Amino acid sequence: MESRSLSRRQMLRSAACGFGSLALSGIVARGARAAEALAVPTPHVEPRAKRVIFLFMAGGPSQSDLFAPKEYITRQHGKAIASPVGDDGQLRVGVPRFLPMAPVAPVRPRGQSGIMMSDLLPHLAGVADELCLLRAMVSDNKAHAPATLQFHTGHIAEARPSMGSWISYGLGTQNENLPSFITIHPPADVRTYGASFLPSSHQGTPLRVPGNDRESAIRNLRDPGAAPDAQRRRLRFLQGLNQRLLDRVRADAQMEGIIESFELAFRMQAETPELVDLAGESRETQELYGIGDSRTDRNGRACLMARRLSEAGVRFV
Amino acid sequence: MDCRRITQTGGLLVALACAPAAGAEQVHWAFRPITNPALPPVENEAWPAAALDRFVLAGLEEAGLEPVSDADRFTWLRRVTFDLTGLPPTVSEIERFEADTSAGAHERVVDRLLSSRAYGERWARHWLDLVGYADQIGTSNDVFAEHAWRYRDYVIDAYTSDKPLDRFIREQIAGDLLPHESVEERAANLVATGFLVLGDIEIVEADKAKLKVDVVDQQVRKVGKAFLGMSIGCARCHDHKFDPIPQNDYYALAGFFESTSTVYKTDRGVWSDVNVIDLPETEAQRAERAGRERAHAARLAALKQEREACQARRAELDEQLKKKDLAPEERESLTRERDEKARRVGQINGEIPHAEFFAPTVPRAHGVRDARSPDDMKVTIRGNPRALGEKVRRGFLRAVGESKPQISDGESGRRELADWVASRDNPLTARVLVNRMWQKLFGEGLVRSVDYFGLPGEEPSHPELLDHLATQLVRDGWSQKSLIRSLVLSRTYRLASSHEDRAHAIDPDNRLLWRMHRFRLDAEALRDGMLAVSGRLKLSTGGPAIPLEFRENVGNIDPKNVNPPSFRLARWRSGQELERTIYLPVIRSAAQPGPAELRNVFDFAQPSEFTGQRAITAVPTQALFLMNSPVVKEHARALAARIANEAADEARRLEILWLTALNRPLTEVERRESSAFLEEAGDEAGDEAGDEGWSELCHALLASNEFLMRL
Repeated sequence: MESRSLSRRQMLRSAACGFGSLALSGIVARGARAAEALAVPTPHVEPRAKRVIFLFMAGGPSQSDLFAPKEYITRQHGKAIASPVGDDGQLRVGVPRFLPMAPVAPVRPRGQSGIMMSDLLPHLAGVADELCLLRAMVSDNKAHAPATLQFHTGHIAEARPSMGSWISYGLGTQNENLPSFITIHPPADVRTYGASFLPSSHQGTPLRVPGNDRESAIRNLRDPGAAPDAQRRRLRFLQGLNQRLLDRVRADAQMEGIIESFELAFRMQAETPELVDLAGESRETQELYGIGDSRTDRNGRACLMARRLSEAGVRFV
Repeated sequence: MDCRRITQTGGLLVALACAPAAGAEQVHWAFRPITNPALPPVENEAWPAAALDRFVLAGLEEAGLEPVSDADRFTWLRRVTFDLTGLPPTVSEIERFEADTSAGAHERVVDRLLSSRAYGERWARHWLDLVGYADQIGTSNDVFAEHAWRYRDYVIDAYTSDKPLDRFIREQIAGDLLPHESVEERAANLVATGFLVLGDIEIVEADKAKLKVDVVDQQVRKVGKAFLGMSIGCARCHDHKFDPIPQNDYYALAGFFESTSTVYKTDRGVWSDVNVIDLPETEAQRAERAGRERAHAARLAALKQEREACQARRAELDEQLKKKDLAPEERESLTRERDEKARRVGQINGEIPHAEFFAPTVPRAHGVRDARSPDDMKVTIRGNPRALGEKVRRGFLRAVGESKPQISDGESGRRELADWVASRDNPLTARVLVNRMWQKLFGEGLVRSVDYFGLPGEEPSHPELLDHLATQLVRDGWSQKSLIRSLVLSRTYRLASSHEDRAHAIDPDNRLLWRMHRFRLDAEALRDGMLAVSGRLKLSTGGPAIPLEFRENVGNIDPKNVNPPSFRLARWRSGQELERTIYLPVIRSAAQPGPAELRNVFDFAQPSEFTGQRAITAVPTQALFLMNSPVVKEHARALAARIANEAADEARRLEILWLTALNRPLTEVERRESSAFLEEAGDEAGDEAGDEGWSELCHALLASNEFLMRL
């Protein structure tokens, strides 16, 4: 199968704008040449960043505890204050009275820039001058689900492309064996990593850190019930059927796209398990990520995996 | 003056320029009255089978093209069966059609398909895409839409019974205000208004004034898109940039929904909920409910009695356990029994509130009613409900003609709105509906932007054909079935989908229809098709999608809780995983659950949007699903077992397999290659019976392009 598919791909690539390459869009295109082929207009500011790792830590401590202490709240610590009421006279939350709470640990200026950071974040505080802290975000709705959706897509209710989809769409891929947007342990709402009106090859491929050997990182990445040979034989037969049908109807961009998607899936099968296998990382590195400590293991593995995927050329993790 | 140019200068001007008073030539095609064009002359008189074919052929002849040959009968049968019912033809249906060479064979197939419930199930799903239907209210906190399924079943019934489309429209916009002759009709009318409420509503919005205008906005957008093919929402904040829809027209329409009650504030925290309407019952329904109520009361009494008994026995056991002189075995056994009783009491303490929460009631639905004091709406500046402009009198789109209805005091005017939308004189509605049907059957609309008939949208490829069909729809009493019947019996629908170099060079997008469009089956047809082929599809008559009767699926029903009642999908009804996809729960806040997971992979319509045409993509997650998912494997195994039952010898089995899965006879090459494949797979597995090899072969067929595509 490999040799035939390769030659067919070469054929498609050599035929400029062949019907096959159109259907493939960014997902299997290659580096700089792909960017040309996709005709992505050059942005007016040349981007220096090549890839993005985006950590969305739902449920983390609040900004007033970590980065932005509020003077009024600190002063009123422990005293009951009236609930903020909207200008429509409606209560903004479900209870009438609040007890304000001062930051749980001191928040102080750090580095030369004087960014405020809590004592709870000593490591982060040590690199304060390397960071850009944006304290200008607000959501249109305070409830978890809409605010989370807005954080990822810019809108609280409607389906819009997510941040990663835009990056994938704008920059294409750097690794033809992997999707250009991978999301690890994504929020429940699929729209947070959806492509909405962009081609769905730009939607995030969800990935989880396998908890044990039987789990695979990407859904359906393995065929646990079949020997590798059986799967290869089945695929060969299947692609043979597909090719014959294509010969029969003679040209079809959609079918070309499907055939190609099978090939990419097959390559992902081969490449991804190696990438997400953290065993090759040194013990020291693993410890730096908090792997092995039950409190930080899951998140640490996810972060280390994000680094590996990013190094492998995934645009947005 | 040209409408398109004037648009740049602002909507109001355009509205004036495009008003019917202006010369017909200047009006955008979609706003012109629907005409009944004469059938065009064609050279090849022998080709057309139906009137519509003449329009297609005339277009082809003008471009110097001719249609490709007809599809073979197997392809046509598979095509029409999938298009009308979302399912493949069965082997016996194929054999019967193959044997029937008499005149009228095609007609008999089409009539059989149109009279099936599967037809209603298929076409209802297309409609639900335009509604943003889900079995969930909003997106936050997994709030179940307990009665949403009634609307889904209403839509299935409407298509199955061929409810006239003008009636279908009226009921969905104003069912609660329509006259009725029976209890059943009244109930259906009320359920129909679910159309207006079953979208993604931000029920956790704390600013209720904003929630209200957002709900109104959604209703305006939905009515505009589904029936009129217009993106009216753009005019919420400014005159429409391209279309003759001034901002005032938006508020004229919005006034109907401002005068309508859709949501209410609950007494749980900030939460709102969608209106729940009691439905009238027939005598039979009332009697049936009385039976359920008796059973419910008996069950509650039994539970309470059991709880008392458990508690009494537990107290007794506690007493006994206080004795010091118990033998160790006896102590152990008494302790076990005591713990068992305690566990059961805990269980009953959960079961009783659950049973009471879901106690039998009158049938209910999510729907709308007129607001207490209906009134015109004020312009909201940039959509801000507290920055109000002038009041705008309720009315219709000026670009579409007469715009100010007489609305009685104290009424929302939705009935008048429904009449205007469903009027034969509305130039948009019939065209939009006909074009939607065309797109589902031919792959692309005559107007390819099926949801948008505005100025920058595409012109129809065959404007006269579109009008011809719209006229026919109205003339035939807005019967969808009779229109679909004539579409699928046409020569154009019978064309092969094969490639032709010359035609492709002249018309690469096949706008002139020199061949049939091919497309990949959608998520429902794929899943239902696999179930049908593997012989496991289970018929259903509808009903609630989320099995709320299981306590494991219900969280958070305590009335004192600050959050609304929620669901999770921990347990399915037995056999539910074998029902058609339309009956499975549609979830907005997460991936589609359990047996519906295929929808996540194959471009299911996002249930917070309204869309008349889904994307069709080819991404590796789909390939991984087809290659590796346990679901497809299971279908393959079931299919292998099914054909093993039907024939013992390999040759016949292969023939049946090809007819079952690909709905056509096996070719000689395929027979040879399959034999070789089976032999190799069998040797490998050391499997005498060859079961594994057959499963593998079936798996390959189910993942093949020919199974995925509708040719």
